[in-house]
Amino acid sequence: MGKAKPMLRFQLRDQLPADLIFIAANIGIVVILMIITHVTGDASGSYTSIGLSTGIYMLVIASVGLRSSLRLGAQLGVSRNRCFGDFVLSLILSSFALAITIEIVLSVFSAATASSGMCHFTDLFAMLYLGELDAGALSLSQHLLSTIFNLCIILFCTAIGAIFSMLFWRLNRLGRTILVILLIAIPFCFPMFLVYSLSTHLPALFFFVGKPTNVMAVLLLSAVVLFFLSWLLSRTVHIRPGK
Amino acid sequence: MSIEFEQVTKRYGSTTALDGISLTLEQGHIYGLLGNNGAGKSTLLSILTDRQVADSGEIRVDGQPTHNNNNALKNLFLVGEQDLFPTGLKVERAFRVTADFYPDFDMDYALALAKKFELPMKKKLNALSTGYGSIFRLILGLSVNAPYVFFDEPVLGLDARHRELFYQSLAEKFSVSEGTYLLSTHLIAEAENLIDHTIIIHQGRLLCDGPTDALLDQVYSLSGPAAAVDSAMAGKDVLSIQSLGGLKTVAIQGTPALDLPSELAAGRLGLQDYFIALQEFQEKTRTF
Repeated sequence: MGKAKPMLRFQLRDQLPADLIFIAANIGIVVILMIITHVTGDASGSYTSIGLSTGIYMLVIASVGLRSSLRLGAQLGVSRNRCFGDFVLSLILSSFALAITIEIVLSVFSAATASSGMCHFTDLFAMLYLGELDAGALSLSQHLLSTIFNLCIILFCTAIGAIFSMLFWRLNRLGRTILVILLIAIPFCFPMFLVYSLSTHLPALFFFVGKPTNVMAVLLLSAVVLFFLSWLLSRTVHIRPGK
Repeated sequence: MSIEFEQVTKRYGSTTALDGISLTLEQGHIYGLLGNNGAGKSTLLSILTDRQVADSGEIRVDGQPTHNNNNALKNLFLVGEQDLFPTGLKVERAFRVTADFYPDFDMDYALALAKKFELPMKKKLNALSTGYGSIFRLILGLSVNAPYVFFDEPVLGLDARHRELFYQSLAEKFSVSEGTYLLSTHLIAEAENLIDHTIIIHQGRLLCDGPTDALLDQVYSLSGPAAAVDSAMAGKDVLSIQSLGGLKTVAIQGTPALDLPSELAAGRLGLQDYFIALQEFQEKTRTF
């Protein structure tokens, strides 16, 4: 095993507090939502898309943590490949744990408020494919699919964090400026692309959104490709101290 | 075990930082890696420990290439001008993390040194001053017990007392361990008693590589009245000349003649003086 165990152990130990704080913060938000709903009597409160927000959280973790991991490995005699591999493995393990946890949190709170009907707890999978069923109303197999769906989103976002981290590390100032412009432009351009795609009935788009398994497959495949590209970039990057 | 550098070259745009460096580091020495600012010392150490990748050439530890190789890299430890730990890590945790990765890390020795150097153990690494940051790193290097430990400007920001403490600790460590150490330093005069093998790099190329005593045996200094010195140095390979009033001191390659005039004094150069003389000679002849 050589240095694999200590590096993976360090990554997981380092990441655990942040994951716990993330979950606690989400629970805190839910509790506040419930209190507000109870006080105001407004039954339109809803808590949705925790899967996507978890993905964004892991995107940040990946973008910051990958460089930190490569630096630590360089200091402590661990090869780039081993560092990268252990870091990705720790991200995958965290993603699994978070996907399961958020599904449980959603279900528990949904069940707890089911009788009062004050708040609605649902997530992307249910919203897109199950007619916005509350989390508490899902069957076990639907929970499983929702968990896997969120896992794919989280892994995809994690991979985006990794590739952007490596790109920012490798590119010169001009390259980084172009990348930032692209990052800003994409959110504006994507809706237009979506509208154009819908209007022209691109088969690929229907393939993508038609079935959840297609979405999951595309997200997972994209994550694999992005992680691979990140790994390629990490092989020759100049590992310098952080500023 | 040995480390072999074979034709290691590194360029940054139009600047050649390292140009075909080939040398071998054997076990059981304290090496001195010397060179002017920008000579390529830090780049060489950075490539050795795979923080950078060479454009060409290879570095092998016990026959195994270092690039992306756990088996080779686990034998090396670089104490750089800055460490690569997460900045929010506290000193004591950083020691424990290092012990996780280097099984021979001597925690008791590290803690004892930390006490000697008065290093605050509960402080975060990014909260340490320049001097204490250096102390943290050199304690790591002295405690890690890796087969090869490299110190790149280890005494940066250290006061004289702490510098002396480091040199003493290194000498004690070397006498009892089987490790090999390399010091890359500008404070040559302070460290020269420790360095038994000298490597000098100039503008990315290897200028000399040999046992320190053997290198210093090949040069001598000659001092005295300028006219007498001029006469004695005629026809000799003169490395450097220093004049002060009517007196002159020169560094000459070779061994002093036995029948020197009484007004002249021949002496052995120290490592720092040898280094300076060599640099001046390179600048003068611009052979590079």
